Amino acid sequence: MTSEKKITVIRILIFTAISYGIVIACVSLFGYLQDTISGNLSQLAIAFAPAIANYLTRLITKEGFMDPLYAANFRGNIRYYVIAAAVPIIAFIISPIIAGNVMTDNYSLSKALNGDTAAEFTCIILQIVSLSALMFPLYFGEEYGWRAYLTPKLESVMKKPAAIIVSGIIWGMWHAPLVYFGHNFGTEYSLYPWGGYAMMCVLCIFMGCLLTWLTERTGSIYPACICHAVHNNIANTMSAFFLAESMTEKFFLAKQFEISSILLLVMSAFCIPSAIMLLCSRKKA
Amino acid sequence: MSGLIFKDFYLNRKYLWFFIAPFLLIPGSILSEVNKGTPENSIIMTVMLTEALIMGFGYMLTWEIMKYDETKAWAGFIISTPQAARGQVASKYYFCLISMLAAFFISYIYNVVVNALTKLSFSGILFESTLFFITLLILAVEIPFSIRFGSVNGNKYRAMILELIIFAGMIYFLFGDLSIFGDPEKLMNTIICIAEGNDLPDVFLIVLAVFPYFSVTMFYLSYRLSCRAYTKGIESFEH
Repeated sequence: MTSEKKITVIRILIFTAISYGIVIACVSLFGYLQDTISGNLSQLAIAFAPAIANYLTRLITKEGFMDPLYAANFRGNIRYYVIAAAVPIIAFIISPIIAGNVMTDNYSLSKALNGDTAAEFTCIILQIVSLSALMFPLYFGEEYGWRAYLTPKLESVMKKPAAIIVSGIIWGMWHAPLVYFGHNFGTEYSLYPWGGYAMMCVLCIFMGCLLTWLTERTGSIYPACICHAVHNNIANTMSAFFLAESMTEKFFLAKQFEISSILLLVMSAFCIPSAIMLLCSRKKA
Repeated sequence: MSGLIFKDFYLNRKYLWFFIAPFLLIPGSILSEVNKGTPENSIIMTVMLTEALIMGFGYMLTWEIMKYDETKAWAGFIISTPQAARGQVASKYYFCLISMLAAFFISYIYNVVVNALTKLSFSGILFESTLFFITLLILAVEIPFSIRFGSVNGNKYRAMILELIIFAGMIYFLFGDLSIFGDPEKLMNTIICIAEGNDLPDVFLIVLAVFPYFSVTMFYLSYRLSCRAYTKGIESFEH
């Protein structure tokens, strides 16, 4: 291993230690998803942990702060911004319908829509997208760590597919407190919590492909932030929209792991084209 | 580009403390109100007013964006750089956008902090985002005037627009239906319902959903218009 690679590995380790350290410190000091002032502020600190880790690693290893990914690069890249918003929307319109059909015997889309018009549905989606675009600073905290620092650093010490998988696992396991406290999958499933961790890692690997592809194509971190924001904001709304009429809350809570897994696997499937394009672009280079 | 944006923030740095002040003062005042047993709706109204104030501070930061750049020597220099007039104008628009996004984000955090302090479940995000896009629309109308006619004349046009809005409000208060002001409690509940997006009529929902896109489109068109107006505006600079 060359000395340059060694330094990069050290940087990766420091970055990972800081991002995990902030999460562990915040969760152990203030708890998670607690409705207190310290709980809320610690959630914000957790959301920004990867960005803080990026800055601190650069500071500790005297790497410097020059980063071209700050620029929005709208010119010629608007289509990638549209893709960033559109992929999670399409995935989370289709995935609850699949989940409803798989999990219940008599799922009916017309019953699920419950008389809501296409105009109302479009309004909800338009609102989610505009709010997500505004909320991107929250997701900048994550993307500025994972996409702008960790993934490029991993790519410089290993091949791209391996880098995407490793960064996805690091990113997925970083969500461990969220999974442990039942935010995504509940706590009432047989594989708790390891099944949840594995599912989160799978999603993060595939989402990582899409987000890295967006970042590489635009040379900007913002499409990834918007994609991440739309993904997080639309998932619950669309699930409630399509599933509320066909299953009771009790049934949903009992089968939360299975339903969430279907939603996340469909989202992952939507990321496969970006994974192929990401790997092809490497071959061309 | 980032250098030009940083320059604008540096020149307007004296106004940045506006962003910090609400953080330091208002949560404490709300906590004291809660301890006195103030009704929940009154606290929510205070939160909404404070959020409007924070967005207002973000808007105030954009008031003097052209003031420091109105010299012919600087304008001549900037249009001779690779970024040209388009870069100078874009930096002003980015500055406004960043200021308003910062204000939005601060008011969001403020909402989170107040909810935790007071145990309220008020979600003001729709209210904050609507204020954001209204301000963006106002800026889309104002900035071309400031760029074409200079900050002094631009401010006159800004004052004229504000006066027109106030005048329209006065007309409404003179001749409009004031029955909604008869019951302050009902009015307060209606305002809170609208701010949270609950029980809104369909037309209102559609307007709220489409307005952000209209506002952003106007902001972009305003930028294109300002790019054209900038070189003409330079001729009106005095120095």
